[in-house]
Amino acid sequence: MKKLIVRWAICFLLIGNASALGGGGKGLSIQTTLPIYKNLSNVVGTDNSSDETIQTAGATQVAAVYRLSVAEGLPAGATFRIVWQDGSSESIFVASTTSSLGAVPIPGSQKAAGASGGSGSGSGTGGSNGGGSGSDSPTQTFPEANGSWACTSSDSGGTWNCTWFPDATTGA
Amino acid sequence: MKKTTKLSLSVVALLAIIAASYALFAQGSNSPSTALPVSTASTSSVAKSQESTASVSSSTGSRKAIPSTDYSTAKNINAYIASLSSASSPPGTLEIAQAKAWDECGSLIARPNSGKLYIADLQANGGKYAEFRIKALQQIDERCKDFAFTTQLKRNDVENLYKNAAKEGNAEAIARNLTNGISTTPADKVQQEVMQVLSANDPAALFTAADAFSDRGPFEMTPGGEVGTTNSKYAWQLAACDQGMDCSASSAVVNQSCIYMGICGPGDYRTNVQYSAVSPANYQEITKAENNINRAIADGNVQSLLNHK
Repeated sequence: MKKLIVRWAICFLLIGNASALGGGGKGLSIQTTLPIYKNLSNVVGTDNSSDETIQTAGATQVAAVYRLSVAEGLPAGATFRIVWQDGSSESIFVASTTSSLGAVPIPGSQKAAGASGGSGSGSGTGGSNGGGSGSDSPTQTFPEANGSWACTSSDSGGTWNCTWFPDATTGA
Repeated sequence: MKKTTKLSLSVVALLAIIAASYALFAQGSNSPSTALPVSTASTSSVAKSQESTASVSSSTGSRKAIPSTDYSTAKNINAYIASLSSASSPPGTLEIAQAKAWDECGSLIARPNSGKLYIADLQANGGKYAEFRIKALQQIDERCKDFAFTTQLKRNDVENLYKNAAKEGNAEAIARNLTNGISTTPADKVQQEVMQVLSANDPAALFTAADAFSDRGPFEMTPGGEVGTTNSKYAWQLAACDQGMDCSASSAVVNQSCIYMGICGPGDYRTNVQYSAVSPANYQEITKAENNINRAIADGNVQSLLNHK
């Protein structure tokens, strides 16, 4: 009984945190079809109905790669929306930034492919919660080591068209 | 025959006296006068770690930084955990080793070949800090392979391991629990547990607790930036390295920071923070704060840095 209460308390905490920080259209949403995420070993073939450990490992890999672009991005306590490659999505709570299973799916936040809702797709790259440059522009930039990707969402199913801009041409 | 027995007893007694004298001498040469060194940015961090470890041991008597150091340097985590199971180790050591292993090896627990696939992708397509990430992934893959393939632990088990270790007084577990999803931890609880962690003199716990001293923690910003700024976290982490935490180039913390936080580079944790995480100006501020933290630890008045918001 005590365990059950604790579990429910954790669920409420996670959901409450998600709605406070990641809800609405302003939260960070990450499309795993983007070039920097699409080949990640725990992302390929993962969706919101996969084994929970695999979802967690995939979301953690995504958060880790995001932090390579956005310093101090997605700290412990942050939330973000992940859109898997099949278009299904779910909200993720960052419990730890150093664990390989530190980004945990939030129970009840799952949406099927093509369903609207969650915290909105393509709605920015961070803001105060995740760090980075929140924006409502349909085009997003994703900095890499030697340049950046400029990506435009072509539909709500998670397909992105991206163009690579090497450093020499960025901002030119 | 009697003479031989007496002679043997005399020799044993003499040896015991010599051993006791030596022990007293060794203890004396280590103790009180050896103050905690105050870090300077120019000193090699390895040398500092060694000095600090010695003085931490001397100032706290029975405290040993061995568990975290051994975990960090173990080539095979499974074998390390097995060695803990068969030996008498400080309370909570086995639990936290298992929990940390799960945290480090989870990606391979999810998909056993994910490490090798990730490495292959980075080798083929490159990416930011690819060479450092590949090296870190290779080391994690090697350390984790036996553990990842055999563990039956699930998330709830791991949370229980951390809880039990914390209950047993393991400072690193307490620190982990209070910084795990820190924004959801009540401020008064963070403050109380931070004090518990600081009093334990455990460098690994100090490193883990560093998040609580950042701008997201419950403490007011100090004029020197030791507490309450984005950079404060780094100052405490580097202070933990000074105090004996294994922050060497091949340590677990360096590998995990590179893979999951993007703090990558060619050397130890300090080098990598400079290389990838902060600007030169910020690093100067961080080292000043780090020196003040080390000084406060040496003087036993760390609490003076912590004012509740």
